[in-house]
Amino acid sequence: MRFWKIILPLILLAACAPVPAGVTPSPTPIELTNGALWLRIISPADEAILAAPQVEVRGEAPAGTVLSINNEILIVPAEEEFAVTLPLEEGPNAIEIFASDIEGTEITLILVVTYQP
Amino acid sequence: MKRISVLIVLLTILGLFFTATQVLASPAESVDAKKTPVHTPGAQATVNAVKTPGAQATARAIQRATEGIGNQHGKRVNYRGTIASADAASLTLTLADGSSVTFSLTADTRIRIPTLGQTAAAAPALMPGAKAGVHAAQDETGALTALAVLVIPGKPLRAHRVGTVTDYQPGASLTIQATDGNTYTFLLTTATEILPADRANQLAAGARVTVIAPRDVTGGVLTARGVIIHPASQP
Repeated sequence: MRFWKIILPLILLAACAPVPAGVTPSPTPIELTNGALWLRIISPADEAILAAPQVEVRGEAPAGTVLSINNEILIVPAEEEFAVTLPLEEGPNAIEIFASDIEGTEITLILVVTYQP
Repeated sequence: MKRISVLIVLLTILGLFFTATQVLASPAESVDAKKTPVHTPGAQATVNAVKTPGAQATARAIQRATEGIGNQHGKRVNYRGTIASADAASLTLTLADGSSVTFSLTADTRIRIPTLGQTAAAAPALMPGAKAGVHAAQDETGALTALAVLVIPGKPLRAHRVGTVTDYQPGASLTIQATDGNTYTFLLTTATEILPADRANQLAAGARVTVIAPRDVTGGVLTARGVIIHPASQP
């Protein structure tokens, strides 16, 4: 019985431990689909906090997909993988990802990452 | 009884492991961030002002390690929410959990509103209801000073128009019959990218293209940021 008195509060404490509030990165990859068009963002996570003044946006989409990521324009190659490096300013930065196929189907996504030296 | 005891110990270890992973996975800057109740404009957020000597030393160490934009000292913290109110001196965000946090704005606060272009914006442009991210410095008293504010666009700043070229004036303009049934004309400049480079000579009336340009909000003629020429074999 004494054993239970010690262990039970420990179990409850562990189960009820609060997760700190604030900006927490979302899980990756981020996967979006619109009809035949799909987009998978492997990195960065939305709300990621980065120590470097640039970020590599990596992902996958069907070959031939046209992507505009901030000021960069890409055509997804046959390997269905893409990557582009964007500069960051200190503080929050928006990354706007726009994907479209030849039929005009679109997927858009806006991520926010923070550069914190 | 022994078997139950072993089970309990295992559950305890599992629980403690889960707790440790939750804490370690969370960004350090959020651990000490305390949100204030609703504030009036101009008020500063206050955080637990009573700190132990150890906590004060930690805060000083963080302060030394995180000096960044502006001359503002203090621990860097990040928030994301909806603008509840803003004036020349302060900005209040409503966070996802419904709580509010207020930041002081200074002359050094960098405000970026992507829909207004690359130029820095002023506090009056911070409209209630807009989503925003704030990078702030938190001093020893818990007061928050915004170092950078980003208004997160509700819609993409650009549009992709897919269609068939009906008129092409090299270096001047491009008109397409788009898949949405509308006709769009875009200006071409030396900054307009025509991709892929090995198909640039196929840009002519009848070519299937995607034109990337700023989202049309005024109804005026847009300048193409890029023109992507699709293979002739595709529909």
